Amino acid sequence: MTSRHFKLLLLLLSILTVSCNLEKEINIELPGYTSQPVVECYLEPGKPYRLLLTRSLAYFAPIDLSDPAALLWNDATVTIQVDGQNILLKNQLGIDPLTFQISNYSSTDIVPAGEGREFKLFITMEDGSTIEGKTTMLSVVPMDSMTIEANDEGKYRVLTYFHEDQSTVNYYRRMVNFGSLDSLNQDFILDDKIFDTEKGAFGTGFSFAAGDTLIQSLVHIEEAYFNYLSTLQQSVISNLNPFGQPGLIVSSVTGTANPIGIFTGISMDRDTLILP
Amino acid sequence: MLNFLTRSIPLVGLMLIFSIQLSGQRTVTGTIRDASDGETLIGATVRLAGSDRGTFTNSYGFYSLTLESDTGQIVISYVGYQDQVIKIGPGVSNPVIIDLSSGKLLEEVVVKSNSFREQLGSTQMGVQELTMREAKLIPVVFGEVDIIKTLQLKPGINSGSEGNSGLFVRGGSSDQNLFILDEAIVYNPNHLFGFFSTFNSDAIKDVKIYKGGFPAQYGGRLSSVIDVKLNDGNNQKISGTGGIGLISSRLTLEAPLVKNKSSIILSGRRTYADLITRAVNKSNEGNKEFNPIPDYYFYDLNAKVNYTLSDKDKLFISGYFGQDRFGFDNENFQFNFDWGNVTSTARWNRVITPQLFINTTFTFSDYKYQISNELTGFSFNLQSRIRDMNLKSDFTYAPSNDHHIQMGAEVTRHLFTVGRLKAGSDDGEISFSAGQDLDAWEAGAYIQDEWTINDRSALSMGMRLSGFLQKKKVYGALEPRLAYNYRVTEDLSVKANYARMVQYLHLVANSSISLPTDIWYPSTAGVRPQTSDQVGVGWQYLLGSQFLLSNEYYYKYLGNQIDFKNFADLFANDQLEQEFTFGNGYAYGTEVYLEKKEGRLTGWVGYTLAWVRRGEFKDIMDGRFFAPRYDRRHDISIVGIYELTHRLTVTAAWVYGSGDLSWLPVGRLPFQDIPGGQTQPVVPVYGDRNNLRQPAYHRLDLGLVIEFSPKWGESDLTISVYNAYNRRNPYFLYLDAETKTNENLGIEEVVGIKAKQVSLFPVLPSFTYNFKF
Repeated sequence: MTSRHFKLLLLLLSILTVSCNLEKEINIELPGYTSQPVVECYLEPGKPYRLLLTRSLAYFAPIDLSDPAALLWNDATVTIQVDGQNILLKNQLGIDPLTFQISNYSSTDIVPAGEGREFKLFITMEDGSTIEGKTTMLSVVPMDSMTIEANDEGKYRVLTYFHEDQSTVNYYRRMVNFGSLDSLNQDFILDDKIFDTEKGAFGTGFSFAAGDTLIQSLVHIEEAYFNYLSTLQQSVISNLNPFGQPGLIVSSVTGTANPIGIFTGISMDRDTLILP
Repeated sequence: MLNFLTRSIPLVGLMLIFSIQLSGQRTVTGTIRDASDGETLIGATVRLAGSDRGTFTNSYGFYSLTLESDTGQIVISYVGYQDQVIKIGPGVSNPVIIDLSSGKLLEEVVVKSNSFREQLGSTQMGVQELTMREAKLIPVVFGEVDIIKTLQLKPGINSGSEGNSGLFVRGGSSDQNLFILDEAIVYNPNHLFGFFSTFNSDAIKDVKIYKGGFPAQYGGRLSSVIDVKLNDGNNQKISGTGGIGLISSRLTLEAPLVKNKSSIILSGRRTYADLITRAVNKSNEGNKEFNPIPDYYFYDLNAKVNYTLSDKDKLFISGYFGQDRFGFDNENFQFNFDWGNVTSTARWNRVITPQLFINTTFTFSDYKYQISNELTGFSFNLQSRIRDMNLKSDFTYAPSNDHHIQMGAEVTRHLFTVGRLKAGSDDGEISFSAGQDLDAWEAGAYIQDEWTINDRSALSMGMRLSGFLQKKKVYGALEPRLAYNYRVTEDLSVKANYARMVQYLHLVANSSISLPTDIWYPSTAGVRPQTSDQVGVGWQYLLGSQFLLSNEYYYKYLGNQIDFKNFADLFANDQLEQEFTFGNGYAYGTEVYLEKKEGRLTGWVGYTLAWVRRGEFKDIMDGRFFAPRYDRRHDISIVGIYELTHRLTVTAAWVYGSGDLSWLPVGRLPFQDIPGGQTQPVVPVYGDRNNLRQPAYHRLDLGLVIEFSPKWGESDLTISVYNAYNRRNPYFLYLDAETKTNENLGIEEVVGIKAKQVSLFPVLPSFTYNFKF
């Protein structure tokens, strides 16, 4: 190979190398955006009332790492009404020591159990605008049986069964955590429209080994929570997916404060399984 | 519907009376063919010698021309062929079959044609023709000849995204195009998510795209008609064509079954990436570190047989079968995703009288996708399908040289399987299912008269009556078509047209990119047909004898447009209609087109200036109007084909387009979720649709064709470079958030936000070896 040929080869290689970099950062200017209050309030029977009220930001809003609490929306009046009683949630930052869940409004009152119990949320912002929400506690749908199967490679899968009430429209959230609640292995939501029988089932892949710990959860959720979760997840996916069709997040809270968020009861069956 | 039909009959009758033939004239009729292989030529000009008056061969190569007396001369011309003059004397009887010789046989003769002059005199607007020579020479991605991608270089036609075979014509969406292959509808004209089209150019004789001024024979789609005719097959000798490319190889064989009477053509194409990936997978068997590569390939098969039963009767049977196959197997599951079209056509041409020609066709179309997965003890199967059976008769009646009447009727049976899901355990204890089966009838009748009023004026009047029946719901519509041409001077004509179109089938597609899982859905009691009304005006000017400059202005109103509600659930949904939302739209713009068809340098320059809007959807942006993603303001294409020598041709195509629109988030929110769920520090918040225009798109493609003359026939090596200057064109944009864990709070924090652009194709050289014998 002559020196000329070698240079030509180098040139071609460099062109190919450069040409393979198909992603680049660009400068764009997004349309203006007004911050909205964001509510997250999950009512779990037997646990205290907690609510997280934050704010959304313009996508390119400056990030101040020295003050992570700047996202929190304080100075609002938060009340939850249940059984005709108003429970005032105090504006105080709290972290659940077991689950590390953060809240900035809470009460020491305990969320009562009871299928069909109705809860109402009233928030008044400092400017007088309001946020409202309503939820009804659903029945817990227990995971009534499970089978563990192994494949030829010694990997395990778990099939979990539950009774699906065909007389009503139901929505479910299924989660599998691996080892601890920090490690999510499976998380999806579905409605029962496609179930043909009353025997509902969820399964994992052959992904686990003997001795692994799985935390399985079956959450019986309201349609409003289903809509919130599905639209929120699709918003995340659509940003990264050229085939995706974005949309607006469907919230379960409304009001003059133009909020986004979810106010819902959590009717959950959760089991820990150590594979043999 | 009966009342509706009854009301329309007087109108159709009036048009018939309008066109009564004068007596005492002689009509010459027959077909025009290529002398080398017997292929009939579509759109060849047949005119009286010394006059501009004449006619064209129809889609089946048939012509009918009336002489003033028993004798005379007719001139036949066709682009790329030698003109031929035929003396018609008392001894010449019908049919007069004329074989034209290709101009290529005459080394130094400049092959001339009057095609530009004929365009000047025609009422037809908004039509683009594509020659197979153009399609084969103009470079496209990976060197794969693709008529749809070449059509995208014509003004007024957008692609959905880079490399995509979707067509967005004059503001219409990609489901508003009628793809016809030998009279049969092709419901999904794409392979591999739209990167390749289903049409194998080796088997194609003729391609026309109508963007406006639709002839009355066409109906069922709002925005364009892409009419593809397959070759009939060489009825003179055995011949073949083929090619070996980087992505696929193809082979076409043609042969006479009975010389001059019957022939057959078989054509196939297949990609072969799977052969390589299978070999790689096999060589890594037992390697636990290796993740097997999924299997993917597609193929197309075309077949056609024709038989000349008599001087007056000819029979054709053709079929297309194409499939995409994606498979991924391992010891735990077998995943398969297959999709494809099947079409078949049986056609009978009959010359009833010298003035009256009838074509009767039965077609069958089938598009299906199927996703299946077999897991240990469980199975999953999802499919959607549309099947059509269509019977139609088209008459061509030429009572005089001044009237060219076409009329016909058709009926179609549609069968739909929409999102049919079956899943469950092998023992049947657990079972899931969803989906619905629907059916419908569609019918149409039309009449159209091309009336040459005098040497300067021509008027085309057409009326189509269409109807649709789904369960007990009936829809009907009158679809008038009007076009007028006025020849101001020998070199300048002005034109105007109006067309109403109605579309009874709708594509359920939630993306601007063609996906095999897109579902066709009929009009029902809750889903009204889509409509469009398009008006166009324009002029054409002949610059010298070699250049034709055209300029058209159009406005199109789109009614009953279908879009989808926020995050519509289109997957295995029994209540699909509940996800639809209905609105309207409009599009307007202008197209400038300068074309050169003859000489060593051929090609065109096209420019489009356009606006598109959709709105009045109850569930989208409170009914406000918005621009769809393909609302592209400026579009330029410059295409050149230059014959350096008779063995060497260079080609170049440069395109420029204003960037498409993206729908990007405007805000973000943090999401904590319940314990055990997934905390997300950045959830995008979307505002109004399509809120950001992407950077402009431009690209240069270059090609070099080196022709050889081996003893056994012809061959060439085509070298092409796609995106020659390696422009990073946007495929899609996204916003990227960089996060890190806050050790004190145990939460994910956002530390940086960036906008990213992803491009698809860098500079891509490719080589294809083609042969013909």
